[in-house]
Amino acid sequence: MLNIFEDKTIKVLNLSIEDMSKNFGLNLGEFDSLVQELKRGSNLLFERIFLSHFGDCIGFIQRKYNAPYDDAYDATMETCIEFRLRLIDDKIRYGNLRYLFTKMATQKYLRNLKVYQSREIDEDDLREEKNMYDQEDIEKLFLAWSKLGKECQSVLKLNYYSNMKLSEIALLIDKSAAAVRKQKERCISQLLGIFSKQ
Amino acid sequence: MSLFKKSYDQDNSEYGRDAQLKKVLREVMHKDQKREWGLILKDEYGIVRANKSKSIKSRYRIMYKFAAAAAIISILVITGLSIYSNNKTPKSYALSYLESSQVLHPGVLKGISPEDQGQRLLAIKSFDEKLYEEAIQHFRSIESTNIEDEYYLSLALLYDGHYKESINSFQSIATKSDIYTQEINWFLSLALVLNNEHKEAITHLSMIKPNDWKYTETQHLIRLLSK
Repeated sequence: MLNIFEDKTIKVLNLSIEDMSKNFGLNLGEFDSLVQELKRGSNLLFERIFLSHFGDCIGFIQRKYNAPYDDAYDATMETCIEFRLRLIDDKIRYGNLRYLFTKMATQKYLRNLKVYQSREIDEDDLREEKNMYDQEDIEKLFLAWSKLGKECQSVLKLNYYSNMKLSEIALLIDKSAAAVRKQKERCISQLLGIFSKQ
Repeated sequence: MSLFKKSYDQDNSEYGRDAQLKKVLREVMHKDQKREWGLILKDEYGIVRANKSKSIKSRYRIMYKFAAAAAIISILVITGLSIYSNNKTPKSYALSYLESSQVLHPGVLKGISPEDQGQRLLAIKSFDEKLYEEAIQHFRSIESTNIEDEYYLSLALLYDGHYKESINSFQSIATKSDIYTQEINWFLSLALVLNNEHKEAITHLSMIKPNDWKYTETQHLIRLLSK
């Protein structure tokens, strides 16, 4: 009986280690914590895990597709951005995160390559009108954003980037929802003010 | 008026304006996030985008823009009109680079005295929060400074607009150590440009070799300085 018990324990342990290896060393509980952290606007755990995998992913894309280094870098960076968004939106589940991440990065690389090689008109040029902003707006807003105070950046980031409601932000920063709403309005006004002056 | 501002101002509903702002700001935040992660990758993992080639997207966008530009040039030549080149100056380029970039301090080294630890921590905190004036004061209060302190003090001076002092400080580090050679070549050049010392700036920019950090930007700046 003892041997059977030990054998089962080892199997369970092995499975767990294998699962963790597939998931960047995270167990299910840690994965849930990672998602919760992201939803609260903290990227720390995400960065520790995914940026440490960054170099491997670049190497993989380069080896498999003979990709130029910068293109592999860009695909991996875009994947980090999208992976983070999908985690916040609960679109990614614990399972084989390593495989999923690498797969997404390779698909991004191939999509960039194929799409831009095959078409005659750059969709981005058309998109500008549809989106009601252009690349110049992005550059100017980026500069305005860098001049905005840390507190404003934080509130707008939590609301727009981490998808938190104002009431949730209020709880997080220990203010009333009305105060957060006013703060957000002030921050937007500041941002647009800097933007317009440029 | 910008495309975004026009569309934003025309939207009468609060929800619509918020949705527009969210959409455009998310792109801005992605850009900022990429920049931030790029710095972490560089400082903690030694991974740097080589910057030698544009992204796939950009390459094709440039091709289309090039084709469009060629067409426009042809029309202008035919109609006998002259074209004026971009009037961006070396100074505006250097300022724009500093405004859109942020250097983060990698953290505190081990084995330093507890007295200095406090000042250094305050200096690093201020530096990473872009409070450069405070960072300068804290760095200067550290009793036994090391090369790293001096380097980040020089950067704080540069970002805070004390160009002459940052030039002296970078030059002083260069005589003592070579661990920041590539970084100093670039930032010292920016400081020289901003201090109107163009000849010296070109001398330092010329030291930046094709495989060095900021080579592409260097070539652009040299072109602007040579105009």
